[in-house]
Formats: sequence, C-alpha cells, structure tokens
Amino acid sequence: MAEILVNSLRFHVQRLPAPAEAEADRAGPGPAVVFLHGLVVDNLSSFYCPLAVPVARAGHEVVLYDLRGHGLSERPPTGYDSRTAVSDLVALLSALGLARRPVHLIGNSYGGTLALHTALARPDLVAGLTLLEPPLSGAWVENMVDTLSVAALSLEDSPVSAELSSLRLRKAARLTAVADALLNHTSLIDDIAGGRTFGPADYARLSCPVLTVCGEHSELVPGARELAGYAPDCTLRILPGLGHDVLKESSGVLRDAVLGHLAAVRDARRDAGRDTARGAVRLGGIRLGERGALVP
Amino acid sequence: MTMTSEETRDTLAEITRMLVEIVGDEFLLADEVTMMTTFNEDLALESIEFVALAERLHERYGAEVDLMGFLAEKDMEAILAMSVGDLVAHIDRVTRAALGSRAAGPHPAPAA
Repeated sequence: MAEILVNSLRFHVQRLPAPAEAEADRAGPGPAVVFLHGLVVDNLSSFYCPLAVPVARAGHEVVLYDLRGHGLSERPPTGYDSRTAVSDLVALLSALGLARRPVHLIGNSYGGTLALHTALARPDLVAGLTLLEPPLSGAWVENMVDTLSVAALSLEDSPVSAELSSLRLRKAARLTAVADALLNHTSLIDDIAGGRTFGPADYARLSCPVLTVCGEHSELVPGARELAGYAPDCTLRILPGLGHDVLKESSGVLRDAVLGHLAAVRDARRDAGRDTARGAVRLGGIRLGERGALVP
Repeated sequence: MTMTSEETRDTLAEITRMLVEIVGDEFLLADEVTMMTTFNEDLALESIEFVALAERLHERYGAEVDLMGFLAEKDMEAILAMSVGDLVAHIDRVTRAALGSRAAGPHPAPAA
C-alpha cells in the first residue's frame, strides 16, 4: 500500500500516472490533479471512478489521498483544523515532488473548503480549483457541528459496531467504527467548530481559475453564488435535480464539466504564455466565452 | 470456464494473495477465493480496498494491463459486482496478447 510519512503521520496515497501517449501528444502535460475528499465517512475511493480515472486518462497525473484520520491514513487525536490540513497537503506535495509546479485541486464537500484554504494560503502552489459542493458559510459550520455531535452521541452508547462485525456486514461495521473513532476520540468536532469561514474579501484574492459545482437543491448554492460573484475567475455550474451528493449522483455530467474546465484552463495558460511573449496582458485564466458557455 | 490454464491459476493465486494482504486473512470472508467469488457479495470488499487492489495490479502487471481503461466505463457498484474471475480473465487476455505480439516480431507492438 502506498503510504507516505508526512508531518509525522502515515498518509494513504494513491497515484494514477498519466498515460504515456498523453504526455508525448501535447506541448506539455497538464498540471497534476490532487483530490481532497469530504468529512468522516468519506475517503479517497469516492473520486476513483467518477473523476480520478477519467482525469488521469485525459493526461493528468492524479494524486488521491486520505485526509488525516480518514480512510486508511493514520488517525491522530488532534489536528483536524483547516490550517493543519493545508500543512499536511503542502508537506505531501513536497514529499511527492509536486511542489515545484502548481497543481490543480479538486475538493468534494469539506475537501472543497480545504482546497480553497490552500489556494488562499499558498497561491504559488495552486494552478486551479474545482470545488464540488463546498461549504463556505458560517451557517454550515453550525449545522455540521450539530449534526456531527448528534451522530457522536448515538455512536458512543451503541454497541452497533461490534454487532455488525459479527454478521456479514463488514462494510457497515467499518464505517461506524471510523465515524465513532473520529467523532468521539479526536478533536475533529471542536476543530470544525472553530474553523474560519470565507467572505467576499477572500474570494476577491483568488488568483487562479475556479469551477464550482453545486446540486440544484443543495443548501450550499447561495454560498457558491457569492463565491462566483466575487472571485475574479469563477465558473458556477448548477446541476439540475441534484442535492449535496453531486459526486455520486451526477455521473457523466460532472465528469464532462470537470474535464472541460481542466482543458480550458490548460489552453488558456498556453495562450497566456504566447500572449505574454507578444507583450499582451491577460487577466484571469479562461476566456469569457468559455465562462459563459459553462453556466447553464 | 472451459479452460483453466496455468496462467489463469497463477493470476488467481496472485489476486488472492493481494486480497489477503489488503483485507487481512481473518477478515477475508470467503473460505476460498475462486473465479466465481464476487468482490461485493462474497468478500464485502470496500471501495477503498478495491482501489488498493487496483494499485497492486498496476504495479505487478504494468501499464500493459491498462486497468484504468478496463475500469473507465464502470462505476464502483459495477466494479464491486464483478467476480474475481472477470478481473483474472481481463489480465490474462491482455498479458497473453502482449506475449503474442512480442513473439511475433522483434519490435513489441502495443496490446490491442
């Protein structure tokens, strides 16, 4: 298993290499794409089929990892705040030799929040962002802390994990065991409760192109609209008929949107390189026509 | 399966060894892993464990096996619904084609 020691913790990391012909085919390979998953019951595997394999086949080196405490990564008692998560990611990029060239971050749910924190703290490391259902507002933090606290209580008194493991319900047993460990035996809930949220001034500082994808029925749409309104180069894509779980439910639509955005950013960077050579000045990463075309 | 060749037995043994490594002997629910064993129903394999298996297969059999190409059109549910035999058959098909093309001429051709 691919384990990498970073910030004194073992992280479970999976790399999917870009197909060789893709690198030979283009002027240069696209940026490496790093995926950040959501909270508690999530891990790197939820990206694998819907996005990670297609992005790798489109010619990007792909890095998937389990956040601290999640999936197959080590679970320390503390360090679930966003500052530590950014530090984990930066150290991981260095360890993988990916800190010299900016990477594209794709974050799902809370992973999107972490991707945004990273782009604001270390703009030099981030070539672009794709945020799937990112929770951005203070209201979300309160709701989430309430939900997690209720879940923590219900897990604490329940022998459910032991019962399930004796049956042929291994998956459910593992899931509840991880949730119990994270919610009742780490600082995760307190760290989330103390988390910093974002505002217009943060969004205005975003120097890289951003694609934000939300489900039509998600309560996170207003926050995403605010982000799209203030960020210099942000495309908002609302997927009809869906709620929070766009990653699981949207199949090809999401994949096409993400691949389209990665290709547009890559082409714009290439064009920007040519324009700079001719002395022209460009702001933002994507041409306006493409931005408009992506918004339904 | 009409033909259970030596390669098939080897590939099956190799995948079984990887599964034991990933899941742990005591957690491997099936008494014996056969070509008919399914990842979800029989092994209760988690998505993350399949991802770990895919990584090992890539390391062991190389890019020729094009596991990503094989998995590209499937979602995780469809992948976990597969039997171990489906995966073995794919690996054997590709490795046999690669061996054949290597034997056919001095320059190795990419596997179809």
